[in-house]
Amino acid sequence: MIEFFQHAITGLMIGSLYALVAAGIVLVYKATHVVSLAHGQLVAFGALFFWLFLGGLGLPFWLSLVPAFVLTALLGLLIERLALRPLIGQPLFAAFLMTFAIFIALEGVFVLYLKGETRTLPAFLPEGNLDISGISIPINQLISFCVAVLLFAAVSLLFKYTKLGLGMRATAEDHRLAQSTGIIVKNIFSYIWILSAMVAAVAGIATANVMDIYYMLPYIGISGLIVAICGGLDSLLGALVVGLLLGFVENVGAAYLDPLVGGGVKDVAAYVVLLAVLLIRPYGLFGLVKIERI
Amino acid sequence: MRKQSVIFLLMVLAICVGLVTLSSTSFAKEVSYLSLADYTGPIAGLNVPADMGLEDYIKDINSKGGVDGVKIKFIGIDTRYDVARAVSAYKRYRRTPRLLVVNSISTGIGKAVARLIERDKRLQIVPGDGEFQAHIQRTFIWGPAYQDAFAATLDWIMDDWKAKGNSGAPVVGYLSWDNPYGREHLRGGKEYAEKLGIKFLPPEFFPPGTLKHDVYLTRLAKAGANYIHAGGVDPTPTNVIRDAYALGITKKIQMTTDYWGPTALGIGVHAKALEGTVITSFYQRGDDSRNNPFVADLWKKHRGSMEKFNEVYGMGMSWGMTYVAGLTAALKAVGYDNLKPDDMYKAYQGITGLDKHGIQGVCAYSPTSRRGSLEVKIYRVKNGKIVPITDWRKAPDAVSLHKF
Repeated sequence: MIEFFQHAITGLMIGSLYALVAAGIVLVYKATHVVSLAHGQLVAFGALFFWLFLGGLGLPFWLSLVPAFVLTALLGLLIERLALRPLIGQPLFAAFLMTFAIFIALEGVFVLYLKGETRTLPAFLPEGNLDISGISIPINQLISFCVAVLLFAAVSLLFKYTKLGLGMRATAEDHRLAQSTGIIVKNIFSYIWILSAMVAAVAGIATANVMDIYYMLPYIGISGLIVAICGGLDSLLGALVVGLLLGFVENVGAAYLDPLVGGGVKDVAAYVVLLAVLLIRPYGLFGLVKIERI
Repeated sequence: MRKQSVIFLLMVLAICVGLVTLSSTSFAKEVSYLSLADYTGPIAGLNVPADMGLEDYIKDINSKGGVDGVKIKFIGIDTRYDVARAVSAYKRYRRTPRLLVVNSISTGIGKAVARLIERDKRLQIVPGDGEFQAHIQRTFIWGPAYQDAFAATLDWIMDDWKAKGNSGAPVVGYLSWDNPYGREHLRGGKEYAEKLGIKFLPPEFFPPGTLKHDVYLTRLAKAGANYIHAGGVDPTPTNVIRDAYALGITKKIQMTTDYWGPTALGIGVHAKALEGTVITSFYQRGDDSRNNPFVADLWKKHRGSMEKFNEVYGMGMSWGMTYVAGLTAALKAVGYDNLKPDDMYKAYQGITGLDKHGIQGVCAYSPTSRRGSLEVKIYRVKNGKIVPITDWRKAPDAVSLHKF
């Protein structure tokens, strides 16, 4: 039983990273209805910026965090202003493809900068393990997990109780209607990309703490996208629940099914979950079901 | 008007002929080396510094007038560890004049390109695929085969087990990438473990880029592993061992890696987790490499400070030494004008015993051997440094134990 809980907890820790990545995708979709494929790059650049200040320049943790957030937010804003704003009024598919183009372009910059090397974040969280009845939990990952949950709560509160959040929700509902009530929709788009980029920076730093910064890092965006789709593209709660669920399924599945099927469960778990969810609930587990008149 | 046009056309023609003559003169004596390398993908950490070493070595040779007046042209292609990209790149470059050697840096790529190499009567070098020793063709290995080096690790494990006062044989676990490289060690390595009486646990495989390896490590630990061999190219082995450390596994289980395990450059940040890790290598690691004057001098000349020195650089230099030795022999045999890729293939089989300045064991290429060298050295991470714990020792022949 202890072994099961050990696998489950490790899975939930990984799942919290997926959830964080998915949160950024959901935020953008909620306000703009654009599914961003570029998000994985924002995650990677968030981690890279943080490394530049913490590992590269040797600044203290807090002094590294602030400029990393600012630079990632700036990158998010630039993407919105330069690449996506000109596409307002165009089919959403064009914007979707544009985010793919951004992913490829930023990937070029990312790998060019890394030159094939790996950047490792110096230890900035307490190391060691917490031992609870034989279950070992790495303290730094527990902190990442708590940060993820708190961040979800903060973003949800922002959406629900602030004027900006109200504007974002109104924009998500209907752009024209929101505009007619005095909301400057274009500004909302900018704010949402900034917010999404800052969430991506948190996700990037947390992920890089586990797997280092190298060419694979942006591809965690794919897991984030799967989580966002399964949770319902417009549901933050969905991103959190499905992120944790996916981490759990991947880890526990690999632990108990690998010996039966000869391995590889971890690689396919996400896609099996995606397939199952889309077949049963095409709008995702927590997504808003929209009925359109024909 | 017509006369002017004719003069103009003649002038253009004269310039074109001049340019062609000039260019053919400047490239009159040149041979090529094609590196199908991964500069931006999962094994870039290995490929980039290795090809840096090779390129610098070639630059040095060229600056001294080349090999008997023949300059070497280095062509590096980024395959991103993708077999299709590599095959396509080879097809694109196969008609390069006097392309003598193709370095296919990936077990999967080596296997795919091998057929084309046979057809083109050329020569290929690959990391460590034992299949090319089992079936002698035109593909040569950089050092001993993966399974040979793994067998050497198993020998060390047996010695260590006994030195700790244990009787019988230990239980050994293995986890690596789920691809041809990850599985190659076991094609002969597993048979060697059986021969030693080692209980070899069912191997665990995972794709490059896996976030956490806890599941595999826990399973091996639960199955009673005394030693776990972590495969993959760094940063993968480092991340596997970090996970093992976080789980408290490294306190009870000895971690081992192959040549592509942690480098001195990467150990600094994870020194605590990697402490005690054993690395089996066919080329010099850590301070052994840093203190090799031949390697250090070239690095300083081309790259400056030793602060960012990576020992894989030396391995790249050794490819260059082999190439130069092969080219020297081929030129001596047939001369530049008659030089064909097949002559380089013949020459490589005759450079047995070539000294590589201590970077790795002497060259073991011969008509019956495709091994770049036969020896490995066992290193251990100690106080954040990679230190040798054995001298060069011959790796057992594990290839012959497997039916390919």
